[in-house]
Amino acid sequence: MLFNSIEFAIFLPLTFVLYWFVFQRSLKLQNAFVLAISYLFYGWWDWRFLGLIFISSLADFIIGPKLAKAEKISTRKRLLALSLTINLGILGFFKYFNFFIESFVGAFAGVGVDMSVHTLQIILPVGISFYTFQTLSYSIDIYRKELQPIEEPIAFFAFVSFFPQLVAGPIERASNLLPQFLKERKFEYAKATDGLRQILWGLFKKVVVADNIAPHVEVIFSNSDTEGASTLVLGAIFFAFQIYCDFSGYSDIAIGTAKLFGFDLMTNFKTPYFSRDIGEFWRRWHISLSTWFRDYVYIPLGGSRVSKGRQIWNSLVTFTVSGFWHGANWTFVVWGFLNGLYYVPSIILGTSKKRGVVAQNKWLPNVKEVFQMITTFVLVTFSWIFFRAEDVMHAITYISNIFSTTIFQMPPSHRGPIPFILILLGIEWIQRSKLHGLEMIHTSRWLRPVAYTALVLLILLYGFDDSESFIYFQF
Amino acid sequence: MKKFITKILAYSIGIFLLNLLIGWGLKSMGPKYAESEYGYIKWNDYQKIEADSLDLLFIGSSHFLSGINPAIFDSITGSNSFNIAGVGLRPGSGYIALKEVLAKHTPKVVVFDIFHRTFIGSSYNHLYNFGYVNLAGEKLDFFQSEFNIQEQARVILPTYTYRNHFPGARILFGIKKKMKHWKEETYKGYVPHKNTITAEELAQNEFKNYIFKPKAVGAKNLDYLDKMVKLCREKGIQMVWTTTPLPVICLEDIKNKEAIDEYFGALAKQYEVPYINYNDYTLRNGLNLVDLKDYNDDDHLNVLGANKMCQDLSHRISPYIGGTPPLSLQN
Repeated sequence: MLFNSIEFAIFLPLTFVLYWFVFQRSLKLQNAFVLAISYLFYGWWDWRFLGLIFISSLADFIIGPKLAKAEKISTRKRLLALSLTINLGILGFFKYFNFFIESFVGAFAGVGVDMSVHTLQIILPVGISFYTFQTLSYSIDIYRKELQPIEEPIAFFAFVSFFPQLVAGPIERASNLLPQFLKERKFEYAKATDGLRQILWGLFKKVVVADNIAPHVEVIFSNSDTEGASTLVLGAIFFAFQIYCDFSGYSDIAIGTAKLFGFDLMTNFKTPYFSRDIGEFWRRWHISLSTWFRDYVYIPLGGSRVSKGRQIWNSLVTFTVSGFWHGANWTFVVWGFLNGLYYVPSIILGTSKKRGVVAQNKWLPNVKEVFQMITTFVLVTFSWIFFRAEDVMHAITYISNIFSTTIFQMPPSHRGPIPFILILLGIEWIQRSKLHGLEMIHTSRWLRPVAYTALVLLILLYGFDDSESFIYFQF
Repeated sequence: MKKFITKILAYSIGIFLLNLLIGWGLKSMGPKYAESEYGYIKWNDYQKIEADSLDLLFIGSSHFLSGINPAIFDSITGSNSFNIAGVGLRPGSGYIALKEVLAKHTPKVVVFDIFHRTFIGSSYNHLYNFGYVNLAGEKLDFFQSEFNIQEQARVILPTYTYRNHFPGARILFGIKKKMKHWKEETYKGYVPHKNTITAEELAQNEFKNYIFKPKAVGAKNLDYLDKMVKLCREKGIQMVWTTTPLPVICLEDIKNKEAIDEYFGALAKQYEVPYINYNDYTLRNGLNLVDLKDYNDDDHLNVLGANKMCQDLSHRISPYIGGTPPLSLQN
């Protein structure tokens, strides 16, 4: 069930009403209802894969208390290894099995050894990388003694399968989301209305901006051999906005939906294209994944409390693994590594530090900030070419075709999505210190309905004809 | 909670009414800037016909859209004909189109397109008929029984449905290009197709290994077909069924073409409706169609093919309008 489908438009109000009017009598009932509708939501795609979520949840539900009770470090390590093996085993089989086989055969073919190995026809279950990482965080946090195991099975199963963020995040930490399943949830007017605003904003980004850009990106990347250089540049910029609006749009709808049910999910995007350096970009882009890798890969490797050389190594490993998380393709590995490389200068110069929002309390940024934002955007967009390309060779050809004299010509077509991007940038700039584009608590009560109506009409008039799936579902 | 629900309902009603208002405005603008909206165009053309003046009515899928040229029928039979075909038209949609026309006309003959695929599957395309007919009671029944959820949503969101009628703005945003010369090219519901299919395209035709399964024919489709036959009978109108010819390669690629002929042949016999099946090899051969010359794509005739079929068909149905068929067809 897609967030931008008619089915979801019926599913959401129906479950909302049942949740608050029928199942509000007890916490257990509410959790059981959340679990049931989450399994229904996921089963709408393919009910067969419900078994995987169930196995993943069951394994960690059983291992969790044993991990907490075990005192011997060797027992604790064995139990953690068991959890990692089950979760990463499922993920590895469904997502990476064929990739490793093909890469293995390719490597041997490179040295003249022909191997006849069959790959399997494996369907990738939607959202498997997201819920696997979510359950992993539960086991690891218990192992680290940062979290107490849960004894309530319904609440735990509902936490793993919570439908708003099940298929494309935000990847929630057990320490944030799980306690919310254990305390009574009461309807809050302000939270629910803000949830609806965030859903509307997410829908606008997805169906008006991302989906209208998608066909242009498809045409440009498919014809990268024949398109002019300026069109290729436009194609890369378009993809930067397509993936941002597609993914952050999904996150907004997910967070907004969770608010309607009384839950707070973590912020996943904070106007990342207004970042002034790569470090800031990664603190604003897919925050739930970036912080996951920071806490469970980068810091265990030594983080930044080691020598600069080691720090650079840790950073490159973390970014590359994060690239590989996105998919079984060398394009994602290169994309991750490239972003790791971008981060190296800030480690050497020691300039990677947390910063507030750009041009705070000002209307416009200064020249230096504009230059920094453009440079960061160009670097990020360059790496997106690898992310979007069919394979590494395609990306290299795409980039090499950009360096030609046609770079100075105006792109002859594909200007359609530009107004949508400008509208998006305008709203995001005004709202850059807010949690989402429609967070308008202190705005005039007359302006708010006008803004909502304008967005609804834009969705009706310009929302793309065919319901496009979300890009991040494939990960 | 009460405040929340009240506010949401009030706002939703406001937005819904605004959507109806804008949708009504867009609809009345007409599809000047739209592509693939021949379904709407034909109704615009239809409204211009004088009441009670039609002799011959064609109802069918895109096969009729590209294959039935009323100009040929008018000149050969001396009648006034109209083609109310639309892409993917199924019997349900055909029925409400028929009802709409019969409210204003009593043609002598109604020719219905028998294309097996419109009797099977879940691909719906009723909206262009629904939006332009005025059958209050039957419309609701049709809406509830035949529309899939996406089409139902489109009906209640006319701003979305008719947004392609928004002049200028959609071109500004580069979404749709202005439709070229549709006014000049269409005639009484006929949309000439001018392409010629290549051998490579034909080799990859969509009928490859297709198997017709009589059990897959939808009961509702048969119900609406039954309603059409009965309605024509009730009004004293002769109904004729016809199937437009597919390229020979496609016919050969269907695994059980005979089963299709037998199924619809038996149905025609049951209803005692004359059935002119141009996919019957004997009948098809009489048209002298050439796959690589007379077809726009793997299942639509182009202008040349349409001319051949319309000339033959007009002679075959002229007796029902009051004319005499040529000697060559009297057997």
